[in-house]
Amino acid sequence: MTNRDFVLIVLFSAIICTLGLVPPIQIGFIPVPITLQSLGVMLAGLCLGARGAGLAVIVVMILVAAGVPVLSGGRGGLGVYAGPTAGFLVGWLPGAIVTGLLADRLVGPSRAATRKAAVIGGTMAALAGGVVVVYALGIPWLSFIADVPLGKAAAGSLLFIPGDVVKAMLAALIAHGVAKAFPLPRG
Amino acid sequence: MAAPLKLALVLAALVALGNLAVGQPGNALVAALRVLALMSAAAAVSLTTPMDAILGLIERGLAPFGPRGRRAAAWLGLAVGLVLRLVPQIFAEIGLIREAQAARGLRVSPLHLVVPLVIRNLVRADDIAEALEARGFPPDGVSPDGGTADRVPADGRGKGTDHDQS
Repeated sequence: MTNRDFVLIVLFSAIICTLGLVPPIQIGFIPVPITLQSLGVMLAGLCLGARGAGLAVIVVMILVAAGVPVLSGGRGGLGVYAGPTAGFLVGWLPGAIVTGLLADRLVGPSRAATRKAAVIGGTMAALAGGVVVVYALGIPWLSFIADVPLGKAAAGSLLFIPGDVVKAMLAALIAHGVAKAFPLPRG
Repeated sequence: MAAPLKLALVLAALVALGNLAVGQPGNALVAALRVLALMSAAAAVSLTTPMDAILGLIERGLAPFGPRGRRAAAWLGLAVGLVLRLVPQIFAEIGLIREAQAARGLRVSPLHLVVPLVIRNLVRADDIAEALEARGFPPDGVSPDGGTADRVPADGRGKGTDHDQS
């Protein structure tokens, strides 16, 4: 790992934290306002690949554990890990890794991809990692801690799915826009 | 009230409401109190422990892994410091990008906010990497994964050869 690889990882950690400070945005047809923070996690996967994105998320998780209020809504501290929504945070790590792995397969080297391939492949990668994997951890965790049946916990989480799908598409568009201006060595 | 405790109360209340909503009112109080107990115990640790102490704990936890662990700890400390330093700067940039777009009469969309934000920061990566180099990083020329880092040659990958090509 070069200094530059390290700095890129740290920059994405910082971008993920900063996106948590942006007030939630209300988008037309989506029931709940969306925060941009999980967009940052998908973006890290798409831009840095599995290894870099995983390390970037680990730095964010360590900051949370250390009590720094870096999560959206100014949340932070060990309490976040003890709460009912902790699975959605812990899920970021495998989510970012899966997004990065799939982006390598579906989009390939960022420079080579056509716009269509980059956006479709990137959206699929971000959906699989940033939505499917994150919810696969978040919902059972919520069900266990809040002591509600798994199906009901899943139904309660449905409200957030449309926003996350929009974020996956946004992440792919952003990653493509970034790759055009600034090709990144992914992997 | 301290933020972590407020969060514990809010989430406990939501858990109670969730239990009521799925038709198990007998469960609501127990589940809510359990969440409150778990989260306030964790909040008690966070509220009474400075950030440095928790980071120090993580670094000590890495120590048994030998030189690799010590290197990871050194990089982790640097990463945390850099993130804390960069977040206010990036936050200010978000404000600048929004202002610039508002001045041009553009509606702010997440797409047109995040693309310039990420590019601005990536452009900066080479400068920060050079600054680290000047301060003797990586220590012993070894990267956190144990491999030998390619030191940036004076004329080589330093000043953004990558994005000059695009």
